[in-house]
Order: sequence, then C-alpha cells, then structure tokens
Amino acid sequence: MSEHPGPQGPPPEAALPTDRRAAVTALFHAHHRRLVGLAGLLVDDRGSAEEVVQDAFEQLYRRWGSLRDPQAAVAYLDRSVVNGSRSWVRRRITARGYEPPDPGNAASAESSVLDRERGSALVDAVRTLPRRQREVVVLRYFLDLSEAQIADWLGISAGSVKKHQSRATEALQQRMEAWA
Amino acid sequence: MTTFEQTLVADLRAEADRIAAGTDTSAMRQELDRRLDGAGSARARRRWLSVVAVVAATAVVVAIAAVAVRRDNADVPPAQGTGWTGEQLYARPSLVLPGWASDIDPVVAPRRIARWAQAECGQNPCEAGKDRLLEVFLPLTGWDPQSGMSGDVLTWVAAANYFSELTQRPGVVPVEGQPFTQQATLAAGVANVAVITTTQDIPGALGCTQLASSIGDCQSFVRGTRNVIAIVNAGDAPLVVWSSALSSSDSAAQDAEMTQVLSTLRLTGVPVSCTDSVSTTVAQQNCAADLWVRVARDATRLADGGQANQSHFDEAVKPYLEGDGIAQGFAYSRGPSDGDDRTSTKPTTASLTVAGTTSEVNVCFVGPQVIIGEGPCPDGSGTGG
Repeated sequence: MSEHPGPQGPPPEAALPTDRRAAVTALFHAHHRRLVGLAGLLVDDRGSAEEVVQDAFEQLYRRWGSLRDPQAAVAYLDRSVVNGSRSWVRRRITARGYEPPDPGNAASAESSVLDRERGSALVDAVRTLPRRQREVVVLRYFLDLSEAQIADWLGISAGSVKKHQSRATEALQQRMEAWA
Repeated sequence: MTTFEQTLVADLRAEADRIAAGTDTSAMRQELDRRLDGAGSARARRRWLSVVAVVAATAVVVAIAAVAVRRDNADVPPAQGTGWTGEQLYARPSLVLPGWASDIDPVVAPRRIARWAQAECGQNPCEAGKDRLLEVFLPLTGWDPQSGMSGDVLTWVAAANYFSELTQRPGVVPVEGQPFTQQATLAAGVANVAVITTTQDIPGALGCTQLASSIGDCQSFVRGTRNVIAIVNAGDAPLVVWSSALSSSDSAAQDAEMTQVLSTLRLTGVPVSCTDSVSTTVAQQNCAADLWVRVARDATRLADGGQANQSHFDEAVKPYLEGDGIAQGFAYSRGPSDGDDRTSTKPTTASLTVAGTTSEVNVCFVGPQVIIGEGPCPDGSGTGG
C-alpha cells in the first residue's frame, strides 16, 4: 500500500506561496472538489460535505503557523475532513436526527442521500454499512490508506480495522450477489 | 487487490467525482474568503483580548473577594447559574443550568425534550470539555432495534428497570462500581443515577420521546462519551436528566455540574394523582396534559401487534371519558373517506376539553402503533378506518 495520498490524492505540491492566505487559497483551488467528494462519501448530504470542507480550510488557515511542514498541509486537510465528517455524523446521532439509509427502500435512499441521481449500486450499498465499516471502506479504498494509518486516524486497533474491512467487503459482496 | 476491490475503488472515485461535480466552487470560494476574513479579524481580536483578559482577571479576583465577604455577612445562597423552567414540558421541570449552558438557547420540543449542546467546538475532533450536552427528556418508549420501531411504553415502574435494560445492551460499560445505580432523593423526588460509557454507538439506547417509527425520534449513546444519567420519578412517567461529555473530559467537573443540576431540579407539573391503571383519576385536570400520551399508549396495547385502527382508539378513550374532570368529551372526525383510510395520510382528528381548555390532535395509525400529535401522519400510515 502506498503512502497517503491515495488514488484520489493530489500530485506532490508545487512550492506553495509563502503568504498564508495565498497558500490556503492555492490549496483550495487544487483540492476543494476532491475533498467535497471525500466528505460526501462519509456524510449523507452535499451541503454538510461542503460545510465540513470549509471548516477544514478554515482550520488550516488558523493553524498555518503551527504546521511544521507546509507540504504536509494536504494530509492535514484530508485528515481534517475525515475527522470533520465523523464529527458531523456523531453530532447528527446525538441530535436525534440519525436515520441510516434503508438498503431495501429505493425511494427513501433517493430522498435522503444527496440531491443526486443515483450512483452505483455498490456505492449505495456502502452507504448502508454500519458507520465504522463505512469509514474503513472509504479510507482504505478511496484514500488508499494502510491498515496502520486507518487505525491511527480512527483511533482503533489495526486488528479492528482488519475486522471492519473484512466484514464490510463480505457484506458488500453479499449485497451485490443478492441484487444480481 | 481483487477484482471486486478494484470495482469498489472505481465506484467510490466515480461517486466522489459526481458529488463534487454538483458543488459550486465559486460560491464556496467566496464563502471561504468570508471565513478567512473573519478568522483574520478574530486573530487581531484575540491579541486585544489577551490584554483585556489580564485586566479583567484582576477585576474578577477583586470581585470574587468582595462577594465572598458579602456572603459571609449576609448568608446569601451562592450564585449557581441561570435558572430555567420547562413550561412546555410535562412535569414542568425547573433547574439551574451549568455555566457553559447558560448562554445557549435550548432546543425545546413541546412536551418531552429540552436540549443544550455546545454546537461549535472549534476543531475536529472537539477538545475535551468543549463538546458537552445536557438534556432533559421524558422517554415515552424504548427502541427495539429488531423491529425498527419503538418498543414498550415506559412508565415509572418500567423505568425502574431502565438501567438494567441499558446495561444488557452490547457495548454498554457502567463505569460506576457496584451497585451500578445510586439512589438519590432530590427535591424533585426519587432518582436513580448512573454513569455510563459505551464501546460503540448505540442508536436509540436511551429511549424515544414519542411512539417512533424512526430512530431519529430516539436518544442514542455515542462511543467515546461519558454519560451521567438520572432517572427521576415524574409522577407516572420517568424523566431523564442526561449529561454527556467526551470521555477525555474532566469527569469530576461533569459530576459536579450534574450534582448542581440535580440538586436544583424541581418538578412543578407532576400529575400526582395519575396512576398507571385506567381509571377516572386521570380525568383530573392535573393529568390532562399527559392524557393523549396515555390514550396512544393504551390504543397501541389494544392493537396488540396487529394493524392499529380506529376501534383501538375508541376503546382506549372510553375509560377517560368517564372522568369527573372532563367537562366535554372527545369529538373526533374521520379521515378523508371510509374506503381508502389505510392509504390516506390525512389523520383522524380528536379533541378534548378539560375545564374549558380544548386541545386538538391528529391521530395516526402506523402499523401496530397509534401515534397522537400535532403534526401530520408519517407517509404510508393510514387513519386505520
């Protein structure tokens, strides 16, 4: 497994502007859409995904001075978006609004998951996974993180990552076979 | 990587691209500029505030000293925070809020829930001590994850088993030693108090504030939080006071806050004469506020797991009509037509007048459940004709 960033990750950063605001703006242009896509895979509506990404850039701006290596800013953004998405889901649960997508109810999925035309059946199935499994799947297969990196980001053991990944892929394969 | 995994990678990338394609980057850039402008101003403000804070801190020390002297002399009770009364809630609870909640407007849903939450913690994940939640709510039912519906109605008697039921759920870890719960006598009455953490998220674990067909109507445990919970006898119903904070927060401070909240809790609207049994006592005015909940509960019980319908509602309201305190009985109108009641989302309405005050509600039949409220019926429910 390669080091982060993964298949959707950016090329190595060209030299960033020395001015903090100019640097954050340059990163915004380079990574905003990719990060919205990442957040969108973890939360259930585009508006929230955009909000999470805005928060990440704002945090980066505020903490620019404490970044040891400006080249690490992209990794900081990725992690910030993952944390922000997880926090958003967590707040949503505590706010009593948490309604997991119904895997057997297409109408419900259409109305609750993004203002979009339907994606692939496999992606829909990912959205029905338990939260932790979904996070592991996105970090592993979208961000191309290693098990150790995922464990570090999610604050769980590498064994738990392996378990969640195994259960998730098994459930997804079963779902796809059932639909086929 | 297997073929399946390669497909998964490709589909996730395509999905992310599709999500991102719908975003307005230009508008987002403007929004970011606005935020960064604000952040810049905030930095400048912070510099000034750091100076002001030193001055203010000195002033506070002097003020505290002055207040302490005055307390010694006048025997004035210590200032404890902002008082709050839940006029819209059953049992009308009042309490003194912890300091962090004093400036927060609570989210209050009529009858059963009031909530104070620190909405912005400033970073992700939140710093310990900056993601706190205080909630006062009256769970009506438990949540049954098997059926995906609300479970049994919780009476105070049933609430005596509330904690033992909670502890049996996978992932729940009581952090207090044995005995698990403490009994406390409050001004509000008897309470059971417990501290709970969980190893996983448990949607709906704390029960639901209405007869629910959605987990969104229920209260949930979140992994990584420390929860201090008090179950208070509010007449026939359990009232839950729930403090939640990240496990890494200062537990002593959380306990102290909860102690303050509980020590100041008063219930001024407890239907003291209401009993769980169906009798004319519920017709007394002090029970009327909770009467619709009781009718819904009884009608649901009468449906006994089958499709609830109007006859169950009729049977459930009959005993209440005999109450001495009811000046005018129920009057209800049916849904749009007799023929297609089950597919209609127009509710049956019912009204009750007690001592000159009339309340009108919508009655919905959702599978085996009778739901009574002021809002529209959930899609797919019928009036159950």
